[in-house]
Amino acid sequence: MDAFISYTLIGIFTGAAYAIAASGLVLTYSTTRVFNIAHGAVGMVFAFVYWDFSQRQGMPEWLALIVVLILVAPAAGVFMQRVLVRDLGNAPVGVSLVVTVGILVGLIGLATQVWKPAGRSAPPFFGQHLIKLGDNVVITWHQVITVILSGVVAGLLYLLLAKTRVGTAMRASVDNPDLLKLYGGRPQLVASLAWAVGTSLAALAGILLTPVIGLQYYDLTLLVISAYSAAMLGKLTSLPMTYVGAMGLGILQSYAIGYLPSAGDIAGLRAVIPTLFLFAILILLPQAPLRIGQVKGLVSAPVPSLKKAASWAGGLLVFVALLTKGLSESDLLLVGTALTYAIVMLSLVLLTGFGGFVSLAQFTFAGVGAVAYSKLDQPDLLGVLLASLIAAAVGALVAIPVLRLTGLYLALATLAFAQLMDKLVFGASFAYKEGAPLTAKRMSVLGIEFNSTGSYVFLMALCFVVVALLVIAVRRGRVGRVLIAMRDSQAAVGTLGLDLRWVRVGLFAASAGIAGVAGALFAGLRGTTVAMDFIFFQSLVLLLMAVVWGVTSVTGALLGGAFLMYLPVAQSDHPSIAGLLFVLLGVGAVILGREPNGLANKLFQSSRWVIDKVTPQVAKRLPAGAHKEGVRDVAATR
Amino acid sequence: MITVTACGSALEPNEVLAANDAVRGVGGTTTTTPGAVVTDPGSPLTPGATGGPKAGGGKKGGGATGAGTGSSAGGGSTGGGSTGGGATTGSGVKAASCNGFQNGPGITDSTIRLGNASDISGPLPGVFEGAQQAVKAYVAYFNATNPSGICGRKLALDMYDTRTDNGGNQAAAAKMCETDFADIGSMSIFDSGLAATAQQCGLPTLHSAAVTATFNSCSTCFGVNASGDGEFPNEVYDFWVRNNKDATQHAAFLYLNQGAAAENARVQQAVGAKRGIKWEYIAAIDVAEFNYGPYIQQLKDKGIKMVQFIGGWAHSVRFLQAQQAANYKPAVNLFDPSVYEPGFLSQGGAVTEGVFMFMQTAAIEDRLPEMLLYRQWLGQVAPGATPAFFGILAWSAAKLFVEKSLALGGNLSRANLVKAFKTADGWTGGGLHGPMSVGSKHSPSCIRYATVKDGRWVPYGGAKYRCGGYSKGS
Repeated sequence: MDAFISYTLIGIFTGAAYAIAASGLVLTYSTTRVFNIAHGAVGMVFAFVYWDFSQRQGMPEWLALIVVLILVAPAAGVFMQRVLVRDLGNAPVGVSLVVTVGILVGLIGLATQVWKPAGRSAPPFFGQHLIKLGDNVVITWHQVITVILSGVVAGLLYLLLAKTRVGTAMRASVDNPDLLKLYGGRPQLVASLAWAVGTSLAALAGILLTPVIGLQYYDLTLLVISAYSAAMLGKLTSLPMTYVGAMGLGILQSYAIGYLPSAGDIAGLRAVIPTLFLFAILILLPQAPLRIGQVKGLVSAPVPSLKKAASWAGGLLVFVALLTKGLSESDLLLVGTALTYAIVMLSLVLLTGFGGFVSLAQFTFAGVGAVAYSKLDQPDLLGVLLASLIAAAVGALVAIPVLRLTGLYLALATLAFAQLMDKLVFGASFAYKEGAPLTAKRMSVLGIEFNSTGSYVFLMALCFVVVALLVIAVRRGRVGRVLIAMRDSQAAVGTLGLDLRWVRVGLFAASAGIAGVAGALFAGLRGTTVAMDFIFFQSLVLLLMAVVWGVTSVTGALLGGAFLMYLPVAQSDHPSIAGLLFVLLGVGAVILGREPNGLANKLFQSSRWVIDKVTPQVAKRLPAGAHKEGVRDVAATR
Repeated sequence: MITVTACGSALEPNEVLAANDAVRGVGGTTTTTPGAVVTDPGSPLTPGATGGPKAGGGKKGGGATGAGTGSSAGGGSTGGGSTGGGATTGSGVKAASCNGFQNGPGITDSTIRLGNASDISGPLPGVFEGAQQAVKAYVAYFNATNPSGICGRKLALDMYDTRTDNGGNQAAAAKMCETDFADIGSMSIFDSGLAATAQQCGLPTLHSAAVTATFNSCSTCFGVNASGDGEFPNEVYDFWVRNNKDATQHAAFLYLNQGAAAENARVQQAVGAKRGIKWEYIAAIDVAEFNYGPYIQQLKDKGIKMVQFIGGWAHSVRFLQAQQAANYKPAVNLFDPSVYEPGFLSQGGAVTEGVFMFMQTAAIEDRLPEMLLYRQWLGQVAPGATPAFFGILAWSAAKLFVEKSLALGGNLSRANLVKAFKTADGWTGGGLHGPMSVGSKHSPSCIRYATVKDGRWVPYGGAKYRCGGYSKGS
């Protein structure tokens, strides 16, 4: 019985920490309709700030707590709302996701830049004084404080939202900010207030968790995924249900460790309980109806004709062929990696750029392709094709249960799926058993071997070109028009009588299949792959790069792939600014998140500007007839 | 050496040093040379104390490292030369004749380029920087104290960052194949990434420690601390079976489920069971798990008296803090050398008191000549850097490279160096660690114990290496 009580108390402590984190999420979402995926990263940064004040600078802990929670964190929250996420509530969900993922990456970069890796201790409140509740039941004051604070936070938030004029204004600003303005309210002010409080709650969660977790950049950041699950039970709006979800999740996790087998295949289940919880809630809870009454067409990047695309493809192949002659083996490996990422990004172009569905699991599909290719041990075109089909089948399997989901819920479902794959599948005995690498041979085509790295990289470029031309062909055809219509307004397309369910399943399958090709080619390039190559966090950075460089064009995919490859290389080459590079990427995503055509489109526009504006000006300034004279001269010399 | 150690012998550090001399062909015998090594078994083993002068400095990147006192004794000419033939270097190894020396990949008339590819950036920035710094220190030391170098050639070091990534290892191996003569003292948890590339170009690869089975199966790859094919030292468990039998019958094994830890955990559990440990609770802890409380409750419920934990030092601190929060204190809290880091003691504070660690190396503050050299030259090339467990192994790797190269003289080539590494068994790195089966790629047989007392690591059960052979756990 003592054990049961202990597990319950430990679970309540865990749940209380989740509840504080989740309540901040709910507050910002319910007042501004922005789901802050960076909520955990915010908590992480302010845990470092608190440590800096209290431990490094010697400020009394109570004073440091007040300074962080009352001054610094709220100020940062206002800054984020006013500058970074302003008006995101009405933007497509992909935009707010990208911007907040950008903030997440930027904050991790900021923390690593300011507080270099080192051992740091953050003592719990009241030290390690224990409270004995029986022979075998012990809790700490820190745990008690956490539980009490979670209750206080829940109560105060409820009072704020339900019983005060400010709270009423907060809720009104979500429903109709213009109407609120007419009644004399100030929507931007209440949104700022909500972000100030939400950020302060993230900071409180981070500070309370630090003595348990330690000051870690990633652990604190990603912990909030458990809080997503709790918040989702309350459909991101109900604080009481969020509290229930957090407590239920904490206790469930504690019981799982206590009573589920600790060894064998089922042992992995314990690690994925929050993810399963999230997945189940997303699938089982009733969904919000489709947004109707609006058709939002994006100004897409120009779609090239197949002839024009083929000429560019030829140019790319010539360029890569030259690279294979001039670059060293180690540099060619980097080119191959860039091409892998570019092909994965092509899968996002199809899914997100054309279809409008945000996926946070593209690297997972690539991982499926890599595992399948390695396990099939069929190093030829058939092997790659089979690996692609297996990845496509997995993509379809994901799409079917989440058919009803759209927008944010769909993105979170793909994130949950990626985590499940990381924990349950990639580590299983049939994949990367016990973290061991899988080996793979480089594929041959019709008996032609591509054993040298140069020839294999050229083959990868050829694959990129083929997939890119297929993607462009799809975009130019009937299916492409359906996808664009679906992206702009599912409700409108549904009204026209199109059944989008199977289009959607097919789209997910095709996208996963493309990622699977990339995974198979990647396995051949490397010779060995490990599960870490495909962890879900990679998919977040992939999405950022795709958006920064343009998720609606093949050019964006190619440039994004190159820069995704280069990011860790640059961080390695310039360790003193490694964090800063993450910050720059985050800032880039925040700036360009609202423009899904990205930098690639800017390139197109600038080249058009050169042709339309600059060239005529230059021609005018040239001596009259010079051009024709020049032509005649050339003809004469022949 | 393996025959001797397999009998449960106990070796003092100076005996180990003498054994090393025997392997090198200097001492000619394994008997102890009284007074050859000064040891202080009672001295604290505080990691992070840097000895030696704080001078010079190193810049990350390529180029020859070191002060280079005196002039090089001739560059030698391509395709031959007799520079340095027959000389005895500061390392005490008699150099072979340099007749017939051929330049080749990574070797010019003036330099022999070495590569070191370690995990520097990535999720745990700087995690194995100590290994790279140690090789840099050794190169500086060698160049400064051996003007004639290796057949007239100075050593130069190219440092690569494998980015804690499989692909980073592969790219670094490709670069080293093109640029460097050998890969020395590297350390990466994804060493599987370089194995195929290194083997393909015949790159002599001597890492601080071998991590993955793929690396182990590469014919040109070795580790000073070899992992063997699922092998583990018996003495890690025999020691406790002898000294606390009761605790070993109520034991638990917990590990962080990440990377190679799961494979290592399985091997260690199996070896422990073979040596008489009764595991009553085994649990893999997910890296994202933050609350270790329920695991500690399990340990309490099951009456566990001996706990072994595998994870990074930060996770080990978290594990100990959870024990304290639950008012739980087992008789034996056992860790591997990953906790031999300054952060473990500084961040853990009082909760680390009384924990045990097995280690294959001498302690950083042991007053062994080779350890003093390592600390001194680390201070030269990286002022403020902390000596580290993997730094000790990396220094040892560089030392082994130099000694084998000198012994090869004019026959130095990648292929011959690989052959020479294959014969390097019983290697102790000048007393830095117990005898290692580098060439035959078997697990170390000798370990020693340390415990935390008054916030410092001190030897436990004496400073002797306890040698009991190894067992296969798979």
